[in-house]
Amino acid sequence: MESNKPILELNQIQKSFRNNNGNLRVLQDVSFQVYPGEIVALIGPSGCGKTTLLNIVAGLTAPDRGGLEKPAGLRLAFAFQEPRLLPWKTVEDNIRFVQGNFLQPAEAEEIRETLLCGAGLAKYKNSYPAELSGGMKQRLEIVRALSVKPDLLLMDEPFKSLDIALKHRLTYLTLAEHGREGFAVLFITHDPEEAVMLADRVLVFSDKPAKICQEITVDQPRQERNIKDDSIYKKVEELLAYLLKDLKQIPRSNPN
Amino acid sequence: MKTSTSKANAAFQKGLIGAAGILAVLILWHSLSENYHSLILPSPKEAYAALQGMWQSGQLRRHTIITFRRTVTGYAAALLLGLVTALLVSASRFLQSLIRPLITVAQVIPPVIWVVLAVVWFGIADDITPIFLIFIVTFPVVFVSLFSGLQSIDLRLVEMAVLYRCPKAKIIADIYLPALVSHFVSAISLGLSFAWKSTIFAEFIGSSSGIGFAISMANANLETEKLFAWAIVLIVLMFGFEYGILSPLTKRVTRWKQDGK
Repeated sequence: MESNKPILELNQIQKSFRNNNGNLRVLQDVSFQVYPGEIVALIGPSGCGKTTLLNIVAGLTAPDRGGLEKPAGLRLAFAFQEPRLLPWKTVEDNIRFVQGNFLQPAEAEEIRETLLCGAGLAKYKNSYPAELSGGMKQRLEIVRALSVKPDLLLMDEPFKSLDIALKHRLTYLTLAEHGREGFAVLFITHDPEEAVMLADRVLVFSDKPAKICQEITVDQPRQERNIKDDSIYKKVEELLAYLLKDLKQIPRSNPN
Repeated sequence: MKTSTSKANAAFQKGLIGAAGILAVLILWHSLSENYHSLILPSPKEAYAALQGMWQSGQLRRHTIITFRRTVTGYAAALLLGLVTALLVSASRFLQSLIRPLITVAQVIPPVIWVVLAVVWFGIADDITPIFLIFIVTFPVVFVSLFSGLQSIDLRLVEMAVLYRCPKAKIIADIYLPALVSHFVSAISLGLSFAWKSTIFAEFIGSSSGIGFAISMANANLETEKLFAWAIVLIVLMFGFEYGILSPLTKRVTRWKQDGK
């Protein structure tokens, strides 16, 4: 599945934001690569800068320092954490709006129908976003991202506001598309199980300023992974250990 | 189906209450008028008779058309210039600092000063004085509404569109314009009553035709019933505009805002 040339390469990315107390460094020397077809999960404490990193990859935020390399013409899609839907366009037209920039109408329509069906939104294709529930908007956000046949799909906690059944449904849809189209995925999650079940690699971030403090590789083919398997569960535990590491440090970091 | 019936019921109920309110005022008017001379408070019947007289003499049509034409001209100019200025100003920080205070100044000057100035500058002109007043009164209203509309455009949507490589023209057509259209329609609605009032006021003082002029004539000739008749004409016109044109238009352009549940 992987080829040797990465489709995304980050080199020592640094980013600070100005706040009342001066500069707040959010990202510190973040370097990693994503290869074609690979699924990479980013996990780490809330607010550590993962979203900023995804924005940098998407070109929405400029890094202060460091290099970002993408092949020219790389087709990006982004399922934002807060759905960014055009309120005056129907469900179908929201998807059409982005598809039109990449695909022929016939192909676009076919993909749209398949995805809307897969996400359980086919009935609502003529509804406006104001008529949808939060979870439905989130599903549409994911469907829209999948609908452009991306080379690299970015997702920021994509399944967060979905109930367990819908979460499975959308995960399945995303994986099915991934299996067929072979795009790469870079996604943020807070769920260690989700990370280990879905990703080829999990990058664990430290708290601010975020840097990669651990990389966990999951070699087992995705279809064969079972959360009850020892090898998989060990990885989850390993991840948990990293994520909870700071918990033990609290008394030490606050001596008073 | 069920919801649409209950919606229709609610609308009907609302209309019924509104009609009851109007009827109550008419009854109050009628009973009060019995105690006063018609010079002070003519009865609804007298006002209606005056209205009929105005209709038969052709006065009603003539003055209404003139007033209508002026309002539309002056207001269309204000809308167009308001839109252009709002677009320019929101694109440039320099223009923003330059123009915002001027707009505030224009807003705080009372219309009466403008109308007196207009008479001094243009004389008792048939068209220029009212059109000038409509423009000067409604332009700031329109500008402020459109400018804040432009400011409130969600740039995260633009980011999304850029990420998916939407061309500029598509971003303008599918993000900026739809966002602006709903503000534009609400700006039209907001400024329209100002526009009508300005026309009438300007015609009252500085014109020799139009509804405002007819009102000043009725006033000079102590024809109080005609004042009431003209008031009725204006009310009907405003209602017609609001419920016949603006309400449906607003509904249409903000269809997407309505929560379907």
